[in-house]
Amino acid sequence: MSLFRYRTTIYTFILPLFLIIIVSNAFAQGNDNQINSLNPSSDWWMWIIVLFIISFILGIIAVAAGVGGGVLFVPIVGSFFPFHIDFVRGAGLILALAGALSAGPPLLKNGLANLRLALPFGLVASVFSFLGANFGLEMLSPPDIQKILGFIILLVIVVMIVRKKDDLPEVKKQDTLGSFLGLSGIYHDLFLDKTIHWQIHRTLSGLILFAFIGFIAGMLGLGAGWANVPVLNLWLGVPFRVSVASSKFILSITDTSAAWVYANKGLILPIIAVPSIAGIVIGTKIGVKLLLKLKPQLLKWTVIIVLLFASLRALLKGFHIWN
Amino acid sequence: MKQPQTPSTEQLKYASLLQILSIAGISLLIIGFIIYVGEILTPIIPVDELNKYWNLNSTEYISKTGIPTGWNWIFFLNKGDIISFLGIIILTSADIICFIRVLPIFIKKKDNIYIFIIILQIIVFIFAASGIFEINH
Repeated sequence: MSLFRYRTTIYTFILPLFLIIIVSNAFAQGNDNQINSLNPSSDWWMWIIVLFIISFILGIIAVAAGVGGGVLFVPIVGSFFPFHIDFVRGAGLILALAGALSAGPPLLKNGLANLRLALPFGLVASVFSFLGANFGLEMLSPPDIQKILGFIILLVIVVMIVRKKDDLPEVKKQDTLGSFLGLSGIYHDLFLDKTIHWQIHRTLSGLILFAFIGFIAGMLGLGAGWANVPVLNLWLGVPFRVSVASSKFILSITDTSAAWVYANKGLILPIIAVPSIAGIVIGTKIGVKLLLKLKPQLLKWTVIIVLLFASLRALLKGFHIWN
Repeated sequence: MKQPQTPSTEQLKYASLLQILSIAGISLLIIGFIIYVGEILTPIIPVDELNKYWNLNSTEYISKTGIPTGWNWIFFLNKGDIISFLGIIILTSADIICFIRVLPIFIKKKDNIYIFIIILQIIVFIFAASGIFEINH
């Protein structure tokens, strides 16, 4: 076995193991919350530092695995930290929103993200994320949320495993609705060094899929990049790079309406949101550098292992098997 | 309908304003966090008591802490824990402000479909922000 493969194998197991040990340790302390609450002044620091470290690690592995931080943050922090799941969902939304708002401007300026493409899909997704947020807060108990979260994360894992990409999908004929909305564009692909003309098809069913994605995002406080990109790229026929860029922008629109629902209920705690955002942002920057050294496949499988663990934990918590 | 290769005017205007708002929102979030944990201003919930409340559901949390809901935070801007909330408000308002900014450009271009979509989007955001659809669980 070459040195690289040896190191690769170590990283594959070490990274998720390290993460699992930290969160399990945090969880163990969370069970002793009654003990901790005797000394609250030292307590909150510990949680904030652990939250920052976890978010930092999530930022590193998420960027290379091609998923947003929100989809990792909610199941892991929701399963292992003592915070109520409502606060975790609120923080997850702000985390995804802050990331999308930061990434949006340069992507819009360089023309990779497309405003016209984002508007109709963003509108539908934002209406349904608003409904999803209300449904999740009003109709579902925390164990229900954990069960749904566990199943949705399993779905995310399946999407990650089977996900393919099509750099330049061929759309021979634009559908009537897509044509009516003017959903086409031109961009210069620097990697392929050519100008790409694109148009979309299956617009109506795409809008329905975005309604579903928006509902899930609002209900669980997840980002939506994991689902936005495959729908834009593989279903609607948008070039891969335009899909990734426009997905970020659509995510900001989607999460805005849900975030307002949580904010109006006082469910966004800056003490949880700020260290998480800081950790993810710094971790993402390091993740981008690591991307050049490690194979994306390795980090993708690291994320899958972590997500699998988090989804099982959420399911067990939801079914009151491991509280 | 093919679009020009360079981003449209409305897209560039949207991006420029969004950049300012996202930087402002994240900066204010961090500054507010420092003010809160540094106890520079008196908070509604002292930071060392937060762990008594963060495992509660929203109803219990609001009733035990007296934290303002809806838009009542406006009356508590002198409190350490509400300053961070200003950053959150800017982040959640960023897209609304940007849509209002680019709407006149679409009107000038008489792009009726997108004028309709943007107005609908602004209504959805304002409806969500207003808290009219109140939840109690």
